[in-house]
Amino acid sequence: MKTQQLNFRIEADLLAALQREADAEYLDSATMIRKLLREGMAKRRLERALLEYQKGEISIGRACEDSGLSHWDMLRLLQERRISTYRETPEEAAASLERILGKAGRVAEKPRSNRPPVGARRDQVQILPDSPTRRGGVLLVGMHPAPASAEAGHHWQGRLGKRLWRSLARLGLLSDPIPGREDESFVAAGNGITNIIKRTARSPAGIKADEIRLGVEVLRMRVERWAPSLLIFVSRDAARAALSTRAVAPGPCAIFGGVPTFLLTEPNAASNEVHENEAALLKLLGTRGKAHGILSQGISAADITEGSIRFPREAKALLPRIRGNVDVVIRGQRLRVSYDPRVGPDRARNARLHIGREMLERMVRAGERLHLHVGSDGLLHLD
Amino acid sequence: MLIYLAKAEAFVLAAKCVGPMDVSPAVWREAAEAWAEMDAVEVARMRVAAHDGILHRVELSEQTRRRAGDLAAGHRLGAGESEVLALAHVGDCVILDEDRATAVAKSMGLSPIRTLRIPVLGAARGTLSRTAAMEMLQRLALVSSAPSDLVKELEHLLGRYSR
Repeated sequence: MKTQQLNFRIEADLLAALQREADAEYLDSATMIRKLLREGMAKRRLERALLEYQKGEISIGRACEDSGLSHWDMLRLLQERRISTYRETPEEAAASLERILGKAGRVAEKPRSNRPPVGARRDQVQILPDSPTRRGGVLLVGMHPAPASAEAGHHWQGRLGKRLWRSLARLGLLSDPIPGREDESFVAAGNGITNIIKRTARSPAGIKADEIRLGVEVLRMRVERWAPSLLIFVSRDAARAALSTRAVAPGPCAIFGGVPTFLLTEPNAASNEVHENEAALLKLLGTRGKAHGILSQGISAADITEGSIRFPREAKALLPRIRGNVDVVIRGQRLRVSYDPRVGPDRARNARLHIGREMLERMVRAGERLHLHVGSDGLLHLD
Repeated sequence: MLIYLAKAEAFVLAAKCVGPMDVSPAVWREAAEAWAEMDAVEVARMRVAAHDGILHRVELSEQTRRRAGDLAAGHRLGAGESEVLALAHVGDCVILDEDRATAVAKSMGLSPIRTLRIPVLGAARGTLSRTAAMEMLQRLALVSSAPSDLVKELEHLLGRYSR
């Protein structure tokens, strides 16, 4: 650094003190003077900035720039010195809020501007926040929200998204969903939802590799924190991005962050592929020890007389596709019972397991509903 | 603004109240990059919020940059504050936690709001439940060392405006 010479006289006692300081730090007097000047100047700059800020002559940002402190350090210093960053009175705060909200006591129906705060942004992005998984729940992972979903404020609300929710309902991962708000029912059951890319996009084609990499890092953080029992990829793109491989196929996939993963079939896949995929997922859910499954319909006196239990159509995903015998563990007792999916010919009807009157009378009471699920032994259980 | 929201872990709640927020380069630099080397958890939260689309990092045009420079020099503001004002247009809401910059924003026809008022806005617009808004307000009050009389007034307003 270029230096200039400065000649000045100082008092003898000050010179002696300076010499002592220099000796203590093994410096020569000139270096010590330069050091003290720098420290003194920094302190003085800081004090002047704080004073000007307190007087309202400069902003906090300018005070940081003038003093050389970061915003974080400045906020901490202001807190230490008990200098408030809030100068307006509560009355002024109330008046200001009322100006934004509309007339006093009333809420403005229309915001003053239809744009979001802080600057100008014309292409407003809707946020679809992630929903954390409760420990042991399932985490549904998409690639990015579709514009239709962002517009609706709920996940997977496009045409294909609706098919996804129907499929998950068949698997017992959500119950009694409100149309258009299926994600709420899914989350209420302890499951979570996230997307690798948060912004809306019509297709993953325009998403940059860096953005995907960051998204996968964030997903890893979430998996570590939320500890789901299973990750279900909604799309092939999401699975490819997370698992860093193009070789993914519907069904169980590689482990991600210590958690098993599963890729659903594309929503427009053939129905037999969807059926097989759902059956594989159900088995996986069963082996994860989660109480997923489907409730039977209420068992009536007529059902007992007939020796049958009726199940909603969603239960067919757990059962064979054609009529025949099936092994079921009913309240701990393994039985071979007959099954009828009752598929037609005009319309699909409820599925029916025929157990026999005598057995049913012994095992259930009228009015009960049994829970059909795949147990850890891979067999169907009715409890 | 960013620092308080990051400390209070309130980005998602803030987005529910006011939508996604634009962040100028200087604001991001001052809040996130200055502490990036220290690996602070708050910086990680800001990055996640930016990734999630809650914070949108905007670039400045040459014209906006010049305008920000003029505002900073003319009103003795910092780079971040002046960039926020330069980016905004008449009628826009700007989130500012600074009295001097707030006064300038008002004179420019903008609607400045302080971070502490965001939960009240959310409750009034019905995008945040009263309980969630109250919790957010208390978290923000704690991290920003807001005066208790101001917090009480805001709690009162929150109760009054809650849908």
